[in-house]
Amino acid sequence: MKRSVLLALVAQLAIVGMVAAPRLLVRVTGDEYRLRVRPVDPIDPFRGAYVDLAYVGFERPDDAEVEKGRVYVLLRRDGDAWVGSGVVAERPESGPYVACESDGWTAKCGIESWFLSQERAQQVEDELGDGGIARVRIGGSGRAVLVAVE
Amino acid sequence: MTRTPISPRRLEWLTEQVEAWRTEGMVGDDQARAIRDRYEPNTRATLTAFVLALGAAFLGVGVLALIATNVDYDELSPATRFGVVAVMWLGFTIAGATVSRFGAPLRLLAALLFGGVIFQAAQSLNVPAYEPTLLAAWAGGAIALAYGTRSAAPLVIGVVTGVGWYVWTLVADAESAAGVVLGLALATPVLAAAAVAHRGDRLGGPWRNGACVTGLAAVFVAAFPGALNHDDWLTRPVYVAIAAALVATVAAAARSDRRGFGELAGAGGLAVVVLLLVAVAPDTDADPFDTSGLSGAALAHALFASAVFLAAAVGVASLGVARQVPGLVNLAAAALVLFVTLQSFGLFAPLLSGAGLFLLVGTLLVGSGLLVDRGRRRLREEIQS
Repeated sequence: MKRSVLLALVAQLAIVGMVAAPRLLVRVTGDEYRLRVRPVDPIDPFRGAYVDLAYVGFERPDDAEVEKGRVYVLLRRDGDAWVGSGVVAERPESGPYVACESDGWTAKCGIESWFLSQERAQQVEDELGDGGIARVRIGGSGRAVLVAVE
Repeated sequence: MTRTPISPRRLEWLTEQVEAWRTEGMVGDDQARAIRDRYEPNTRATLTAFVLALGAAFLGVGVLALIATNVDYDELSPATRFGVVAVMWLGFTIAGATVSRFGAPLRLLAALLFGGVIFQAAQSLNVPAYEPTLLAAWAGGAIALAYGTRSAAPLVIGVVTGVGWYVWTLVADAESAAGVVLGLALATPVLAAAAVAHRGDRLGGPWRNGACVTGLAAVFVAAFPGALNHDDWLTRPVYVAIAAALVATVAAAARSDRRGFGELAGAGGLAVVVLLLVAVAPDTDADPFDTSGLSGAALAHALFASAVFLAAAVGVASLGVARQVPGLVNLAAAALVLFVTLQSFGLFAPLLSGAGLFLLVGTLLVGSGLLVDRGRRRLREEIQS
């Protein structure tokens, strides 16, 4: 095979790696937390049905001012699971916390979408009507990856 | 002597090359004629290639749709699904790089399957929905494949997904339609510079088509009354886009021939005019399809923008004739018909009523049709000669 084709293949593999590696690393090495969630049910044009998860305590408080950009959601224990307990702009000195991107209104933490088949998404939505638990792995930098919902 | 059948596009390239060799004195008139006479256009091969390309496109879209249907995890684990898509992508990439006959459809399929690999990985790892960087990753991989194999088919996927990512980002970040229009207009010289940098190379084609689409789309939207309402349009991304357009244009102009220079001037001129249209756009509350309350300034702005659109469409059609790309002539014709039809219900409606409106729209459409037909005939004549 020609050298240019091999270079193209290496470039493509690097791109796949760049897309997958950060999340794969956290999925393998991160600590697991069980977070309380509520579901919604939309569709992504390229990846199909998913359940949109709203994490308890991750909402911006009405009176809080959150800057655009990187923010951190602090976690506190709530029975057998964890919930958000505040949004701060500075990285906390101790955890657990989740690193998110804020648009000034909502914090996107990379754990909002749970991809399932259309039928399963509908089922999950029904089952989680009153909320459920998301198993999330969190890396040292606060990057979170969704592993499962129960 | 038996003539060897080759694709019309390859014959066209050969004819250009032989003409260049003859002009440079490398071959004489008789030798040039003898080389050309060894080949003839093979339309059957073109049809086969078209059907294969269509089949490859359907297969690729089918795999992407299969990923989007999200087969139940109980049946096939995320890792297995990723493995299956990755093996298909790798297989078709290697086949497309090694098979010489009809390799283009294989490379097209490989480029589509690379998108499948990206989306399957993202789905398996629950990357949040509606993530535009995935489209950018797909574009990057398709462009790498295109340049690795020197093939235009994957580049089409790369340019389409790249422009798709850019528009997605523009719409998400811009605070008004003016920002999106300006972003599209400033992308035009960048894409045109990429096309011109290829000179006569076929890899310039997808970049050129992309430039024509973004340029026409920018002026198309700008010509609708009220579309450019804005408060603050000279933002940091606009400065960056202006700098990128300038650098790309100057770099391409440095090694461009006269025809390429004309393309760069056209694309740059369009970006500058749209920049001015955004800068001087008067604020108006008018609905694009109910312009009865339009102020004089807003009406003049919309009419001038419409004239710019007509000039841009004529420019694209002329480029299609000059570069012998019938698709660009058809693109200009389709854009023109759509523009005249939509504007007849918006901009022209309060100016002319009843019979007058129908007469104007009819005249514009007949005139457009005749112009396009003339362009097509000229193109056919040039290809035949």
